[in-house]
Amino acid sequence: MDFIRRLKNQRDYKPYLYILPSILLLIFVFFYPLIQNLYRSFFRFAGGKAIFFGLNNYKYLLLTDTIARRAFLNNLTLLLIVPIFLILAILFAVLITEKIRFRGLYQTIIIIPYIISIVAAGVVFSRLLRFDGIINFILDNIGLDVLIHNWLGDPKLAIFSVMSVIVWKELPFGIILFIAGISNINPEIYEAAKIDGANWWQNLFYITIPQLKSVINFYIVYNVMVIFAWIFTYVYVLTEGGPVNATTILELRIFNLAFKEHNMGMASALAMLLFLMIFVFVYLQFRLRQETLEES
Amino acid sequence: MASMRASLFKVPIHIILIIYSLISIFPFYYVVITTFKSRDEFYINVYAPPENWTLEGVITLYTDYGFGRATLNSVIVTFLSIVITLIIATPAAYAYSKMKFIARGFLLSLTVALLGVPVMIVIIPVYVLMSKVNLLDSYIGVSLVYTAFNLPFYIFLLTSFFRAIPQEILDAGRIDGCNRFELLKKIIVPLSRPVYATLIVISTIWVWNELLIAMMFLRKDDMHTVTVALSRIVGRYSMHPELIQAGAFFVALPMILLFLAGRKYFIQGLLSGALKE
Repeated sequence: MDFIRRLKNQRDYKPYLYILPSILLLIFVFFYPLIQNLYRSFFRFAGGKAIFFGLNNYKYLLLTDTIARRAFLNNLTLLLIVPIFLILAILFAVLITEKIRFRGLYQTIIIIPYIISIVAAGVVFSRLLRFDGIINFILDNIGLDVLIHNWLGDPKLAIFSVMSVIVWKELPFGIILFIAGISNINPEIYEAAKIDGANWWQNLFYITIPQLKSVINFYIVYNVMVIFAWIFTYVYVLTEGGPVNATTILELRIFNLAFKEHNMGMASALAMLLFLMIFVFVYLQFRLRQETLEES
Repeated sequence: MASMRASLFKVPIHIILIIYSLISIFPFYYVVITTFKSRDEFYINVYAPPENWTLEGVITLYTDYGFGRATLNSVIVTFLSIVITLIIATPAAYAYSKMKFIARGFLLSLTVALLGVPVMIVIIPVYVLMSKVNLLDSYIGVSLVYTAFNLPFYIFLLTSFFRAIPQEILDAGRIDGCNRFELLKKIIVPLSRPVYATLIVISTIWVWNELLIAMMFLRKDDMHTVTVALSRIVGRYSMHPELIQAGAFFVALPMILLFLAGRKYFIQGLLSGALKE
């Protein structure tokens, strides 16, 4: 009631005009599609007609669709990237923030993979990783010919090749993040530790990493989101989900259901499942953090 | 002695960083040597720099494979989407930061919460909607979609920047007879140049590099952006490696140059997105 009274007292309507275009656009591109997805997920579209399908789309996806299951498992496998990112990003950030020469130069070179298009990177790496590609050529020449593989063509290896390309391209973001995190640490802490005779490793494990706790939390959550919902282009350009679905992921399954199999209802249902997963994940980690904040 | 030991300790650091730097730029070596090689030479000399540097591939790419048109499309779409985002986000951020109105906090959090909503989850209904209103294969249509994905970040960053502008400056402007809109135009926007630079650098790189949205909303060949054109060339002309690598080269090059010019703004942008948490 208080809200309605305040609304009546709100004489100045101009602020709403200032925000109106942004609200309208966000409704059309985010809120309306989510509702549409939910609605369509209960239908089957055939021959221009919508047939009510109940929960059958969901049932099929969860129980029968082996490609969707394969995609989900591949997304889970790709989560391996999260600890890899964390370790490498902290390592390189710590090394770059040592007082060394050419710091700026290293930093600039290291960021470059992050700013080029995934399409360009994918196009190059699919050449480099071919059986007759330059990576096998180098391995052969330095006597490591036992390591020669068909990196993108071998169903067991392909997902890890995709993973390596993602690491190559996305790691710089983490490094930049941790460089900023490290430069925010109070230098007095290190000086106190120096007086106590702490060595480099002790500094790393007892000061730097604990001080970076909130950045680490953010980076883990961010990467889980990336793995579940922001890597479509890598897979699309490098492997198109192949060989035999070995690298298919949930995003690609949604895309193929909609545009290759023209099954909009099922595609919507899978999009809703993915949305739900991400929503629950974000909510849970938010609650978890609230609790740890209250405890401390 | 102490400094000797300190600098010796740094040798392994340099070695590790040099190896990582080489891994970061190694693919560019392949791109560059292949771009400037003739196709005949490619098949006898894959890994070494070209013996005869040639622009054959590059010229064919731009004249016969529509890459010139694609570059123009990319420039138009990137420019248009940033202009529209600026026009929509600036007044919104002004209202959120400097005006009082009901549901302000709620609407702002709702907007910022959309930061990072995955494209694939919402894109199919947007596609259907756009085809109904005849905005497929149009610059405006695709730019509006990019605008929507840029908006939460723009509004978030601009709002927090505008908030930090002291009220006294605005009051002084008001006494000089500026109305609300003039305050925005004459005081707030000029004071916010660095944050605009950050936003423009970040979103130029994102829009230029994006594939999924571009390929869904721009289907006709002569509407393709550079990323779509490149992915199509790979599909159709896999036997023309020098064309493909030239495409990759010219998709990447403008962004590398932009990054080198606006490094500071780019890094600031990355960090301000992350600091939302």
